[in-house]
Parts: sequence; C-alpha cells; structure tokens
Amino acid sequence: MIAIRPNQIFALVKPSEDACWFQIPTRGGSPDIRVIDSGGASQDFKSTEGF
Amino acid sequence: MALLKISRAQRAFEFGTYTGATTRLLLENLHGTQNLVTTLDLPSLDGIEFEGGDLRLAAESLDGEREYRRSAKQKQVKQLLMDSMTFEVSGYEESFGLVFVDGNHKLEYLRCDSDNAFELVANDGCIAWHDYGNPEFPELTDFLNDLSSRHVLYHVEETMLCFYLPGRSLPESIGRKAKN
Repeated sequence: MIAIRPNQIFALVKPSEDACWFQIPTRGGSPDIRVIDSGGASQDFKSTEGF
Repeated sequence: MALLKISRAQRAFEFGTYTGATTRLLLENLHGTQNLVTTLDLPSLDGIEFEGGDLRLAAESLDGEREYRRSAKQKQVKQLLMDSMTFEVSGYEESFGLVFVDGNHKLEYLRCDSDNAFELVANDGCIAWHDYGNPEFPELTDFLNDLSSRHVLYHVEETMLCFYLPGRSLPESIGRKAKN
C-alpha cells in the first residue's frame, strides 16, 4: 500500500481542471463532502448542498 | 473527483448507491451524453447479511429518494437493483473509467465486487474503494492490504479512499510505502 497526500493527487490534475470535488468518509456525520482546490483550500458541504 | 479527471473517465460504475449522493457527484462531473453512471444497490434486504452498521444504512437507502434524482442529468444514471453477488459483468467489461466499490462490506461481497471491478474498469481507468482503515470494517482493510501485495494500491491519507490505476502507476516521487 502506498500512502499519498490528498494534494499530491490534485497536483496531477491539469490547472484548467483544478477545481475538484473530493468526498470524505463520514457516516451520518458532517460534512458529507469536502471540496479542495489545488492550493489545498477546502470547503465542506452537506450532501444536498453545493451541487 | 480528481481521480475521475486523472483517469479521464467518460463513464462510472458504482457498487452501493445508498443515498445517491456519490452517484450525483459522479454524474455532475462526467461529461457525455448517455449512461454516465451505472449504480447498483439492493432491491430489498431479504436474505442479505450485513457488516457493522450496513443494515441500517441499507434500510435508509430503500426508504429515501436518491440524491441523483434531483439532477437534471438523472436520466443518464442507470440504476441496477440487485444483489451484487448475482451481478454479471458480461457486456460491461472494460467499460468504465472509474469503478467505485462501496457496497456491502462483508468480506464475501467485497471480494466479489472487487473481482468484478477489475473486469469492469477500462485499461486506463481507476478502481476506488471506500472505507479503508474504517474500524467498523477491519476485514476490508486487511483485504485491501493483501490486495496491495499483488497490485499497486494507493491510500489517500486522512481519508478512507484507496485506489488502483490499471497498467500504470503514479510517479515514484509521489507517495511513500505505508506500514500495513
């Protein structure tokens, strides 16, 4: 198993595609979804928001 | 979604629709004209064994309206309602740029869904598993650790996501070997 940092994945995405959705693992908790841009900034959403 | 972009997926397959939130996430980020997401979930709970809190979650998913149905693109979702142990990959082989495995977490289901995922995924696609490291499903983590001895699997730290890129790997400068 190779461990990678989330931002290392985003670094592979072309700059024109750098606004990425990233789902984080929650079970009945909050938030449901975290959006992280290529700079590492993040914003959390409940699953029914932000679409 | 970064994995979706890296794999340049045109279509996605999901084991475990649940609330349909991930289904919608995939749907809104895929660009095509038809059958963007194929998602599989149970039609009922009859005769199914579950791990951890899956029974409750499965019951919830049967009762609620699925999130993807709120999308203007909902007709581009193909909903399969069946026990994934009975799913036949024939006709779907190598058809999906992204396969997301997040169905029943019992080991026999995980093995079956994962075996099918390897057949469903396109040559340049990506298989992603959810719940790696989740203390609720220790057998899942053991299964993926074992699988990583035969395939190059990546774990995204601070998440429960693991993924595999068939036929290729990320640059060696990315990542470090984890202690299983």
